[in-house]
Amino acid sequence: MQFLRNLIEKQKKLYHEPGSKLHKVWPLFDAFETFLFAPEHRAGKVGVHVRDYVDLKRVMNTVIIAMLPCLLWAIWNTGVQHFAAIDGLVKTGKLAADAYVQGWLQSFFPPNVAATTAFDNVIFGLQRMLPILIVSYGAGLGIEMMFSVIRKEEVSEGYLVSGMLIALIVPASIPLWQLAIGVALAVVLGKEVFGGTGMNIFNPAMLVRAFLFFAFAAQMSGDMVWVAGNGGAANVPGFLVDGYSAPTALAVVKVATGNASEALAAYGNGVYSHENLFFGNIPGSAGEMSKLAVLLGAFWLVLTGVGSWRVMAGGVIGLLASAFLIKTMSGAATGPISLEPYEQLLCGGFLFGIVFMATDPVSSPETATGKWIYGALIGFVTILVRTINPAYPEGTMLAILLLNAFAPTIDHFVISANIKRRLARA
Amino acid sequence: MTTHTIRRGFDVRLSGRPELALVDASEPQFVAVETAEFLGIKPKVLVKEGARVTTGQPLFLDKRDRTTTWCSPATGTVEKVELGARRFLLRVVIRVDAKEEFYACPRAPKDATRAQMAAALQGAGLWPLLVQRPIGRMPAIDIEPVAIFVNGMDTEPLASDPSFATRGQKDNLQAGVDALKRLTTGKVYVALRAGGEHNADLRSLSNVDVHEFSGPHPAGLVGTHIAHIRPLKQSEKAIAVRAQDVARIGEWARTGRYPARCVVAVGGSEAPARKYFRIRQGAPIAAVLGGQAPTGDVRILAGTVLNGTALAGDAWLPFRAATITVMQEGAGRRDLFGWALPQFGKLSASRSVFSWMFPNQEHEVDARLHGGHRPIVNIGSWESVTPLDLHPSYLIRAILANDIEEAVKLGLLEVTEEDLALCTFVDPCKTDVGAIIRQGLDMFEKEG
Repeated sequence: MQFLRNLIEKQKKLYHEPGSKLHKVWPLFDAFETFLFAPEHRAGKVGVHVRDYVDLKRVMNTVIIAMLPCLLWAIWNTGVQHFAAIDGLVKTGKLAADAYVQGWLQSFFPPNVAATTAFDNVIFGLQRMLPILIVSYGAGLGIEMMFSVIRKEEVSEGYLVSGMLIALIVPASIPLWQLAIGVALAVVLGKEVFGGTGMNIFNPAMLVRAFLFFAFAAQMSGDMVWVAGNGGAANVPGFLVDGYSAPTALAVVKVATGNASEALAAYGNGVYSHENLFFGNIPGSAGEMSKLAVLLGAFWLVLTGVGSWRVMAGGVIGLLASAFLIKTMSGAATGPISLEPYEQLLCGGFLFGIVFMATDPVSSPETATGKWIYGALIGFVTILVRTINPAYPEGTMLAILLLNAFAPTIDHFVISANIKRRLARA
Repeated sequence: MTTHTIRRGFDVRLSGRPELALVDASEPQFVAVETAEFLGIKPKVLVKEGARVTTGQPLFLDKRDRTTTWCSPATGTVEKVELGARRFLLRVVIRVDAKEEFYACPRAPKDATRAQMAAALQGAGLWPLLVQRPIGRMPAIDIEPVAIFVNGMDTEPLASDPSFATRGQKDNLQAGVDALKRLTTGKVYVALRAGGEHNADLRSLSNVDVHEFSGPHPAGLVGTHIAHIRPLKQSEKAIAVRAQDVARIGEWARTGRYPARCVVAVGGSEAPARKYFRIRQGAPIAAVLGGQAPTGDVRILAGTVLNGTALAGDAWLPFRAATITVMQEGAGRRDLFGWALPQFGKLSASRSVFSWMFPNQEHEVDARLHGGHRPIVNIGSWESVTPLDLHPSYLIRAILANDIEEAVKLGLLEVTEEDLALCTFVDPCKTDVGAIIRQGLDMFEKEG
């Protein structure tokens, strides 16, 4: 450790002093140094002389740990879904087992397509998730660092969470160039133009998804993109399994002509059984499939106090109550409205969104009351999009972005009440 | 008697608590009265170098009102009148004689009016012991306080316990309360720790309203007390005073002599002797640190780690000092992967640092920030340690935006830097919340 310290101290001379050779990129060196060693800052001469051990790095790291179950499940399930699709194609004779095209990682560890193992699943999952993570972090952190250098500020840790979130909320089949463009646009226009971490209005990761969703609809929606493969399909670039399509649970619900719950249960040999929906053995965006993994993350966030339990509780209550009210009041027995409220919670990315994305401290309200209202409204708007809107099966993304925009307004009303109480005393 | 329970807050548990033993410190050779503690005053020196002064004789006054004085805490000769930049008075140093004589301090008649009592306190050099709320500075001489808040508890880490420091001084406390009562048409409130020891004297005072507070820090701050006992309305002012200072004022009221001694608690992991010392006001701090201030990787504080001023080893006890804390400085200490490890032994109010699994730890701390400065990212930690009915993050933003009108609406005048010191402590972005609050209060005074 002392050896490492000395090594860094030696290098530091090149960067630290104003006027030194590499002083312009001092923020980069500082980011690297403080990644290893806590910074040297000490309290001033007046005021508070001892500080909490927690810093923003630890806060962000805590959130990343919370997302690990989702990431691990994403790696596993991406492989499982892939080989299930291949298996289906082979069995129906649409694909010959020896015509299977291997990806870059699989060329080192070739899969046994006829009888795949758990190892093959993991290898395929890594083959998709690693490039996505690298592109997401590479593009995002690169831009963050560039702006830090321009602003001559220490590099902020905010993007460490965003980068992971982005990887988990896009389909594993996404073309990497699209991801890179999405990340660059969202980070620059959604975050840096406002002044960087702490100043943004919208959750940057959600902006990436929204941008991709509207710019590259073919890769972000539909029935083909939720199971990743090794090659493109006709006219659709991406990492897809040619000739295979699987709608998400909510897409099944959206087009249901009869009772939605029954349609869901009846779809494809019970693919969307309650167990599968809960444990995540389903196609979907990379990280949001397993509700169990999300709940593990939620437990960790609430335990450590880093994620707001008020937003999460408000969101779940808001979703269940809205779904119940809209189902009861409309009296509809068919169509998306007829889905049971608890199934609304099991389907789609709402749970992931409310636990990991709505709780973003920067783009959500800061008052305790405001957090309840904000969470509940996200649940409400999600249900509105899912049931009333004719086009989109899923509404979580739009709900969170909309409520991000209204977060300051919600706080404004809570603060006004506080001011009125204060004036009432006068 | 009313009991108030504080729920939101945090007790900073440090090792090195001063033991409950009161000892007399040896008589110092020199004492000093300094101006640094009283920002904003314009001192005018009343004595010359070499002049003889008696205990309680005015040394300098505040040119702004010409009545508030600071008096000599000892009998002797003026050794030095130290001036700083622009010939601004820094301190008057006095060589202490063996034989003590007392200056005839001004006194107030038994049925003094508010103005008479205020003038007497100002002339006797005791006015600077009082603090005005809002703002948290020495009161203006013509203040008409709506209430007086006597603080008989302190929940800051390693702080002197006012109840213990005034134990056995019932007569002084009562006389002090009676004197202060003349300043206000309102009530005198005494705040005590619920179930606290040593506060029988304070509890049995007459002519006061006793309120009890339980719960974590900031249960023992006067800002919390005011908010729970009698919130101040717009343009109302109150006087806050600590129990130790009430006893000193009482001693003056009873005897007519300047109360030259105070009680100082010395604590902290690096303090040579952790005790309560009865000592002459303005003595060198070395006198309570075993004769020689510790050197090396230490930080000596007048006050506590949450509200203190770092002092040099050859500094003097400040006028209002009640606590001296000696902590580690932590220079050059760099934790490898400090942010990534669980950290079972580090002081934190956050459960992302896993020392919460061992809640009874007492921590040896140093002055490191444990992180870099970042823009404000509010994960709710400020709110979780603020029991007042206000939203700290919005208050801070209003001040940073120089919108003082909005800041006042958001409760700026209900706090001073000590009330939000815990926000500074818990903030993962290492924002100095207290400094911003003080900046806001200064702007308010300038504009108002």
